[in-house]
Amino acid sequence: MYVVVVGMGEVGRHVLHVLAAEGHEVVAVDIDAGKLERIQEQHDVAVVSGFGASPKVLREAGVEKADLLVAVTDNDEVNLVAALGGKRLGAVRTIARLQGSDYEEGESGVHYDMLGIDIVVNPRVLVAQELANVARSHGALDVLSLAGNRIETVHMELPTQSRVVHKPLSELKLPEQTLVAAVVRDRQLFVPGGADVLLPGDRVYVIGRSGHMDAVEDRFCGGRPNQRVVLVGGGVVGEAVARSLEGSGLEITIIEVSRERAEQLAEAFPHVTVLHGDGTELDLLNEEHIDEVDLFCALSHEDEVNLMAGLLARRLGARRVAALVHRPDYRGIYEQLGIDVVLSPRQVASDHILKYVRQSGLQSLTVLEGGQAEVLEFMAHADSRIVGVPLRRLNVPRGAILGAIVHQGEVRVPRGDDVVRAEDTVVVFTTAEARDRVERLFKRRLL
Amino acid sequence: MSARPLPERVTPRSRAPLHRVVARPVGRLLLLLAAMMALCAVASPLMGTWAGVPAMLGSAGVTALVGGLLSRWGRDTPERIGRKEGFVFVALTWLGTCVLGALPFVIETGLGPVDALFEATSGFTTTGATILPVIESRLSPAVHLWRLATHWLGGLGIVVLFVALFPALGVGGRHLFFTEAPGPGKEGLAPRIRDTAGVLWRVYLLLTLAEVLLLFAVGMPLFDAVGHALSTMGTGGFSTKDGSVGEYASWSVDLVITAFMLVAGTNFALFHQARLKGLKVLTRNTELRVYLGLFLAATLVVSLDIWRTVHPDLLDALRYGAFQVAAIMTTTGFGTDDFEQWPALSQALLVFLFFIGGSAGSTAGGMKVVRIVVMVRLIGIELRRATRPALVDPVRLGRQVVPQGTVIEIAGTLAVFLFTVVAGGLGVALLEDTDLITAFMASLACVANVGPGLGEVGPTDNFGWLGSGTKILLSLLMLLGRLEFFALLVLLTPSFWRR
Repeated sequence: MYVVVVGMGEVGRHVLHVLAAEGHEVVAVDIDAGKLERIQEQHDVAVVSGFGASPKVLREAGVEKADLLVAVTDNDEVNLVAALGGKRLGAVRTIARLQGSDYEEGESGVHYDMLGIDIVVNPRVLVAQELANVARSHGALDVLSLAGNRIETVHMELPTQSRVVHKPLSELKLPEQTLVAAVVRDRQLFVPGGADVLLPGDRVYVIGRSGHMDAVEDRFCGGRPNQRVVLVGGGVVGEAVARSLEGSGLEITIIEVSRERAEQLAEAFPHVTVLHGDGTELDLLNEEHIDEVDLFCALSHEDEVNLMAGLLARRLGARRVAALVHRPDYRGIYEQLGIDVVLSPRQVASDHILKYVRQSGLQSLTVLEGGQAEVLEFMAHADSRIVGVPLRRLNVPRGAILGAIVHQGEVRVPRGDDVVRAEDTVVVFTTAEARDRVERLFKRRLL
Repeated sequence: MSARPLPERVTPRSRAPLHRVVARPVGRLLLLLAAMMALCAVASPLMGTWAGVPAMLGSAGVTALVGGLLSRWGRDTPERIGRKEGFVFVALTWLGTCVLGALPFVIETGLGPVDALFEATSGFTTTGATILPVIESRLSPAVHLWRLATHWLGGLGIVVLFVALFPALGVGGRHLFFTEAPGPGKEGLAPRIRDTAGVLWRVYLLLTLAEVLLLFAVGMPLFDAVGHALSTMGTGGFSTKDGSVGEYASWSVDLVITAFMLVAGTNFALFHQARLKGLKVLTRNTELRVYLGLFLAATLVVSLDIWRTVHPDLLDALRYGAFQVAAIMTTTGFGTDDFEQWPALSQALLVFLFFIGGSAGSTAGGMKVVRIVVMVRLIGIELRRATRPALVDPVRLGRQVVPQGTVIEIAGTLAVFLFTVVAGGLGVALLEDTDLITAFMASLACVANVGPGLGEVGPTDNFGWLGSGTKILLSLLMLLGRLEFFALLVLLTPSFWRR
């Protein structure tokens, strides 16, 4: 595939890194020639330096023979013009990223065929939706929807009082249609067997049918539903979270530093408490009884503000703290300092772009724990090895686990005597080591 | 969301020691070299003799063994080659290739190790300086073909061939490619470097085939046609005849070889671009215009100079003048006439062409035309700025501005070129009891990868009489010239080896 990537920010670099590593022909476009030089030190790609929305620059990058154009500069208008121009000049598919809310129609964060651009991704809205999922859950750090929202993977940290610890997994009575896919202990991820015992402080990934997950969370975390949610920063993300949670019965407070913006928000959300103030100010947070807050979200556009607000809330005793991270380099520090949920709009953007790029046969849905594991979705072919054999007789590689089978729209979390049939969609949870062998299960047999 | 950290973005520095990381690709490249040796062995049976087959197959076996052991030694190392590994890889590859490529000469002719190494190095660096006084009667067809094939492999670059054939190198291939490929600039023809390398090798192969056919058509025996095509396209200078191309005494042979020497001294990327975008790519290219202009002007001056003084017939003067100018300028080094008998003006002009060499991105050596053009422009700008300090006037090639960094790099390369020639000349003078011209021309002919020089290393002499120390020094100079200095010199700096 011939790919032109316009804009070498975090997202552009990540998309380029993944595509070049997969062996595609990639051309990087950026206005900063120095940046491009550093890119070429690291990646086997061609570079064109210039203004990304200019037809001349796009032509120079070979857009007329491109199978894909990805426009991810930090300027929304440049992205739109580059994608529209690229399409006109002959690019087969185009993707643009937007960060503002001015072009937003509805609240999905992803738009297909907007103004003729194949896909427009708004990572801030997408991040807001993930955060809203967490806010609605009963204790999850992260909720992943799979197979058209029929399957969920929830990620939880086990508290000391959890009812599932110190017992072998085989003795746990898990709710129907759910299974423990992976455990992370001391930053190491493993796929547990029946004899393994969960400990407090472990983080677990549980996969199951969407309707059953609240019960799982209640059992694992012994928590209660969230009631009070505080959002610091009423920008694009904050607004989208508020919109998404409006009417869910949660009590929402937004703290916004700009008077004008606060008034706009108050007008837009009559059932939300809007405060004008600084989310890093101790007095304000004390007045708001942060210790009684179930979920505190720091969503400003500055990493420093988010980190400090998050840490203050943590110290004051908020039950769970979420924060936005803009520079992925800081993510590790956020986690180390005790922010429970760290959200990166840039990562969400690259995830979505790559997911769209690879829409065929296999989709890498999500990378977990710094690449230690992946959740994949496969379509089973009539002549692949996995079809027609009961799972217990099928050598599923160590480190991999079949999370769900979708058969004609019907979802099942499989057991040993289940059989995968042709055209079924299979969700697989796999460690990085087992991935190749998992893929082999789904390859067509040669004879 | 805390469960979704980004996958590692920065290529982690490999933890395995440098020599083992490099061992695997070097080993694989040597396997490629062994395959090429084995391929040359078929020449003898085709010519109706078995002589030389054991020598070639034996050498191929030894090379394959060394290559196999090296790649086994480094088998579990990461396949990531960074800048540093790239330099070490290219240096080791060239050293290994020259040493192992010398084996057939040792086995077949019983040459001493130093002589054989000199011959092989001269082959791979496309210098074409030889220590063998007689070739025709002494070498079997297989070893003979190998001697010429070294030119061809070294011409476009065996590392470039390796990059084209081994896709797994990734960005490492990019570092390797630009370390070996001559000339400034970092532009590829395709986004992926292995595609660029592949395109260049295809162009090279097609041009070589075309030359074989043309030479065969004008009456050269097939073996000689293949041999001269390999030598010409690599701008080497080894010939199948003791008397070089002059022995054919044929108008048409001279004409074909002159034309293909000029082609081999042209940037190969231009041929590919011309096929895609039309001939205007060629006419608009500054370097090509200067290169051809220099060739025409020098031919005219030399031909007029040797007309009447050496050759009574003007057409003869043009024929020999054009051939010799092309042979020196493209650093091929073939001979059809003894230019040591020419008047001083012609000789001086040829020495000037020794320095300039062919185009960047070709198989030719020397300083490269584009560098000279940039330096001349820079001098012009400095002169204009002397009276108007506020003048903003970047160095341009055609319409494109040459980045300041590249200009500095070019100036540096030219300085190193000159220092190396002078130091080499001093070295030869120190080691040999000879005259000044011989000493400096031997050094210049080797650094510029031309082959024959003037004085006692002129077109009718050979390098066999020099002492072992001088031969090793000259071999080193050839390697420095072929790899354009920095790729080897950087290995000598302490900071390179600091972790």
